[in-house]
Amino acid sequence: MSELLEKSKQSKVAADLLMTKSLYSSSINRYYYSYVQFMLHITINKLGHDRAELDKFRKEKEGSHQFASRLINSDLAQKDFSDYKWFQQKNQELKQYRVLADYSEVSIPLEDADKARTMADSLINLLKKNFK
Amino acid sequence: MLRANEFIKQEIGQIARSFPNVQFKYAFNKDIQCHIIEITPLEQFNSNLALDKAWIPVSINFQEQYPKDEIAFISSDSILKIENPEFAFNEVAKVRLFHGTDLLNENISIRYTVSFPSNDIVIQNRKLVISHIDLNINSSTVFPNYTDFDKTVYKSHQIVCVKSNSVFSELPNAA
Repeated sequence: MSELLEKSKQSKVAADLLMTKSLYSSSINRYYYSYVQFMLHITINKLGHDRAELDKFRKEKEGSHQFASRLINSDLAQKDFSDYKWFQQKNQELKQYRVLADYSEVSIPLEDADKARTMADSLINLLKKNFK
Repeated sequence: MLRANEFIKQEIGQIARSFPNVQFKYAFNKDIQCHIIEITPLEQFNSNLALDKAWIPVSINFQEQYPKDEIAFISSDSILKIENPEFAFNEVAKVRLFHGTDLLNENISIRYTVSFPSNDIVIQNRKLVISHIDLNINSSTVFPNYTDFDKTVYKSHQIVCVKSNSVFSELPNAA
């Protein structure tokens, strides 16, 4: 199994555990990274980009997450307009939830953590469907 | 090469001309470092396939031309919804109505103010929407231009609008 895929699964398990402890902001962080790790797994193992290429972008302004989502965006647009339309919005929404969870002064309610969980799951499922 | 937001303004402006009933707002979200374009109303964003075919190629083209920037086209129910747009197209104004005198004759003189969220940028196809009227008349009516709004029959009341000198300035409550 891909190491990134394994990490994605572990992040998801950690996020669910954090939810049971009512640690909502931390759980959102883990749901987000579960999704990002899955996205990186797709980029390397399904789209054929190598790790060094991602690392190069990670060190530059663009960042490996952005690089991966751009590649997936581009591929999805050719596969299915409606999936692309949904993905390009939810990808950024989940990022916004993560930023709020990590850096904002407000406490994060269960409702937001639930939304982030659903969003991360749905994003991963969409990637599974389109990149078998 | 155009700056990213200028490119977006140019491209969205062209799309807006083809979809005069759709509103487009733009802002840069600093939290997630992403150019956001909000499309309203919701049903247009969700179901207008012609609209999809107009903006999706712009989105893809943008990512090719500006690989270090991110862009997202969003619906109005998104957490990324724009409160203070940098620019907008086909914007719909919110109108506040102040009813005045002459209630005995059921002729209601009203003054109104118009406010657009983004006033400093060239906006196409501005429209007025009555979003609230006192007297328990709840409605949302679009008037294609200001003159149509001057005089209209609304339920049993004839509404005579008295324009202020500047439709963009806030009026004191005249009630």
